[in-house]
Amino acid sequence: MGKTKSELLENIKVLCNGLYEDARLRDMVEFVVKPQNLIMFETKLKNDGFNMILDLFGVDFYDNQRLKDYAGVKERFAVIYHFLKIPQNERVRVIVPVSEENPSVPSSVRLFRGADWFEREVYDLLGIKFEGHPDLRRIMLPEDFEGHPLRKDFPTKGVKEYVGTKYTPRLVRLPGKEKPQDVFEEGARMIINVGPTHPATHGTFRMIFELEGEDIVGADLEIGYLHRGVEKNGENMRWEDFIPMTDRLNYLSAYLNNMIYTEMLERFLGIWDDVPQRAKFIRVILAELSRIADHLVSIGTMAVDLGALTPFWYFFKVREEIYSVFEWAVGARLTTSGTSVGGVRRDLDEKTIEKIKWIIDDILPKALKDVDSLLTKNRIFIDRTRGIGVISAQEAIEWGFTGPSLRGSGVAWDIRKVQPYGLYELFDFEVPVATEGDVYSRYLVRMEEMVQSAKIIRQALENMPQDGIRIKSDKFASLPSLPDKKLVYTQIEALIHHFKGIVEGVVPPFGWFYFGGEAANGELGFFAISDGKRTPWRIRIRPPCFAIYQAFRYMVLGHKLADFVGILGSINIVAGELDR
Amino acid sequence: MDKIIFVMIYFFLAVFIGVAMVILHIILSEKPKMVEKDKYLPFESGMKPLQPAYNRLPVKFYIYALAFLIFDIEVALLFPYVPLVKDLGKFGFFEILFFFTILFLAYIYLRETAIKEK
Amino acid sequence: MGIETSELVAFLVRSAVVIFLLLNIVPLMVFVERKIAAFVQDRIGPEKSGIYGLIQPLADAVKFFLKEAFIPPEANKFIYYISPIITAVTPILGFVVIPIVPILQPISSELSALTLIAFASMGVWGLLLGGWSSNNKFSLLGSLRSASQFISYEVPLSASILAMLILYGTFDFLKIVQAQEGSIFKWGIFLNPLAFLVFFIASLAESARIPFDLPEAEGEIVAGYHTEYSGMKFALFFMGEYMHLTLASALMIILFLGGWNIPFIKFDLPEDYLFEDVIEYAVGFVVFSVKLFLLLGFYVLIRWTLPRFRFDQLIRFSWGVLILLALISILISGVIAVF
Repeated sequence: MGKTKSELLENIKVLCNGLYEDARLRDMVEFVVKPQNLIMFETKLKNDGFNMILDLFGVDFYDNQRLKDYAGVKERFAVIYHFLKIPQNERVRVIVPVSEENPSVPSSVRLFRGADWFEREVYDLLGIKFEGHPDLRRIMLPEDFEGHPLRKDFPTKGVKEYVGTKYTPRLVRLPGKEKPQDVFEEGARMIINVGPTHPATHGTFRMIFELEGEDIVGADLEIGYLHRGVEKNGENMRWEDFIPMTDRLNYLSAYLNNMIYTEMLERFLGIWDDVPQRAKFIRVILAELSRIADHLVSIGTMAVDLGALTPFWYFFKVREEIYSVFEWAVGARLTTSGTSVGGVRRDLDEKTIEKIKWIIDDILPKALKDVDSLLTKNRIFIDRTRGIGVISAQEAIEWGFTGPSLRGSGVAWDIRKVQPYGLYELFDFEVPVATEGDVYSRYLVRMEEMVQSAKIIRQALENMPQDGIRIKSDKFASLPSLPDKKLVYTQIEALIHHFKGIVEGVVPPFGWFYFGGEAANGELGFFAISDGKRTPWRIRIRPPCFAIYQAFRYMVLGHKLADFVGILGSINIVAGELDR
Repeated sequence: MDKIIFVMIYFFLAVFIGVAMVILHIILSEKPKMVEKDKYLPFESGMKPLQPAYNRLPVKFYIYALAFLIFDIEVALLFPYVPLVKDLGKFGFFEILFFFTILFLAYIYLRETAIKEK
Repeated sequence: MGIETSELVAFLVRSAVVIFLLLNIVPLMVFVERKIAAFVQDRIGPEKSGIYGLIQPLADAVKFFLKEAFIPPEANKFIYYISPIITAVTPILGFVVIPIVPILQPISSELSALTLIAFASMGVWGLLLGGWSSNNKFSLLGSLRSASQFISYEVPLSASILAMLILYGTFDFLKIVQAQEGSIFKWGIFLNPLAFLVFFIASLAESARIPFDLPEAEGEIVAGYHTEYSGMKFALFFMGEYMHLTLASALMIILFLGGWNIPFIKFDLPEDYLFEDVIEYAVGFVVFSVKLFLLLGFYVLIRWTLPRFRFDQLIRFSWGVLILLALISILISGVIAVF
């Protein structure tokens, strides 16, 4: 579709001549841009058609000179931007060096609204200020927290325990209602806490609404209740040990996260082509099953919040069966950790395959049909969802929407199609798109996506080859694709491989790598920096929910209190992924 | 007159049941041994309330309260017609029809102004 | 005042029986609702306590009595206590004039319909005051919602009742049921189906059931007006809802579905109870109960099928559609009664 990477590199070199320090081609087109040139550079990119900041994060190089050389920076920190052009799928990485003495970068919010919360997160976790950001507050951690945890000199142990959730709301208001009214002042508006223990917040996050009667005129969102420092944790564990951490991101579809992270690691290691086909097929089957499970929960809980409990039960019955498949296929139901580097943990046996066939051919279509007849043409449901939480295609891209929420706004954007990974290029499936961008559209997209996922699974089950589920160990002795147990017990060489594999784990080559895949809510990306050691230098997770949820406070404005539940349900926020 | 007394007796009987249930609950209920202060906060999704609940409120549906008065009185005015339907015959019916026409005009006005705005 | 002792005793017995039946219909309805919900949703429902889960409602009642009697400290205590009582008591009061069978009507009055409307309309006070007194924003929103909802649906409800009263030309429920004797085509539902429709929808809204359960919409305002209520005080709200539903169904049976009458069978119940008529009374009672439970079951099915309205849609539906239909139904009744 778009240009090749080298064409893109030349193109932008010409376009932004003199604004960058260094340009090169790695897994993505990369530019090193000084902070003072950043806004000019971004403007040029935006004029060229780059319409989304896919990701924005900071890296602390600390005293690692080799990494600094690799990145092309001299300072301690760097802020890294991933720009994306939809629908051409051209990606550019911009590295902005930030000094320790004056950690500040101009804010991109005016050009790309979606940078809003990402910049707040960098400010919170790394202490880099963004000049001109309208609302630069801590986002994950409480206001009075001391220190910035993602800095390398922030100790992992021995800091005093912090108790409390100090947070001062700052609301965004409906145009025309910006009356400077202090939050605690008494007035005709009612300020109400929704969450963390509210029936409509499936997960722990807090919304503060300002109501006039029942109309929402102001909103603020507080997140971070589930912040566990997954990225910081990742820096202190081995590469393959991070797989169980990915379960806890979007815990409704853990296998998708496993699959994307493992594929990132395998591509980073350069062993992707050697992973056996059967393992890739199994990954696709289970990943699509978990996508179905995720959408089932999403639609089911939305229906519950709108007052219809029955669809929820129809869907959860199917979900239970899907979880039983996971139990048989990988040994766990919710937090699967089903993949391992170079393959999958267990093979699918006949019984499991029969069960999967039963699910996608029998109970899933039946449940979909039932819920379809209960909701899709239900007048009350349509009244409650049509025209609610509308977000246009352009706004959605601006905010960084991906996945079903973007497709609900009429953009046919699916990583599985535009940049096939896994084995998705082999399968025939459609990318469902709805045009309105409201709650109903997102509901329709999710419903149809389940049908398409079932279609993929059906094709995958028919064409599954028989070439093993683990990478061959003679090629990659140091991988945890361990030799057979029989050989380990009888041959010294196999024993040594086994020992090394267990103790050292996998070590990707020095450098960095980004890989993103289509998770249930959108593009889930993993950016990893390896300094050649057994633990990663930095693992960055690009959470789809995070970008979507920041737009939520604007989506609810002007609607009734009863509408926020529908909007929230339709964008399917999962706190584990939001807060990490 | 007798019936009023019966109604009163029935009324006290019913109220007695309601009150008895609440009192019985107070007697039978478990008394907390340990009390935490936050338990006595009003429930606001697990956070301390940002604002007291007794506050000024915009009453958005005031117009409906007024409209309710009109229509409920209309219904009340029609009750005396009930036992006389057969006696008044066609004359009564057209009287009522006349009443309804005026009411209907008021309804149209209400519908075109107040309800449309909301 | 000449009240004979025998009359008083008869009245007390009748009242006691009616109230007893009414109080027992609540646990029964809880059970039926759970089982129907389980059936609709492809589940089993309660089954551990007792055979087929039959004593589950009893266990619930015991639990309600034993829970801590919690009062929010900043609540207005008197109002906080009386509002669940108001909610629970008003439908019981409404039953004072409902002729299940002639003998089971505590007070036979010429003005039964007016008495009933007067008592039943008081139910909104419980919700309104309960929500306001708990000093909680969710409760307050719930009670505001209930106030506007109930006054909006009060008009079509009383108008559709009025339509039927005009049709029969009397306030006396006993006479209304007797007028429907004999043929099924004498039933109110066939004479004025529009009034039935309006009454059905409005009674659904007055009982605050899905799709009209906005005062307690749990996804939006946690539990609405009873957010701060627990134990038996919550249970009284709960009972009030079910008894209100029962009252609405009973009224619907009397006005539209022929009371204790069986379709196509001439079935004459004498107003004065005599011992030789006991079989006929029993049959009448059973017929009434069957109709009642069919209606209640239908309410339950609706609850587990539909989502919830939004507030402005609900109000607009009442004022834009329902009231118009109710007024038309009054005219239809007038035409039928006069011509």
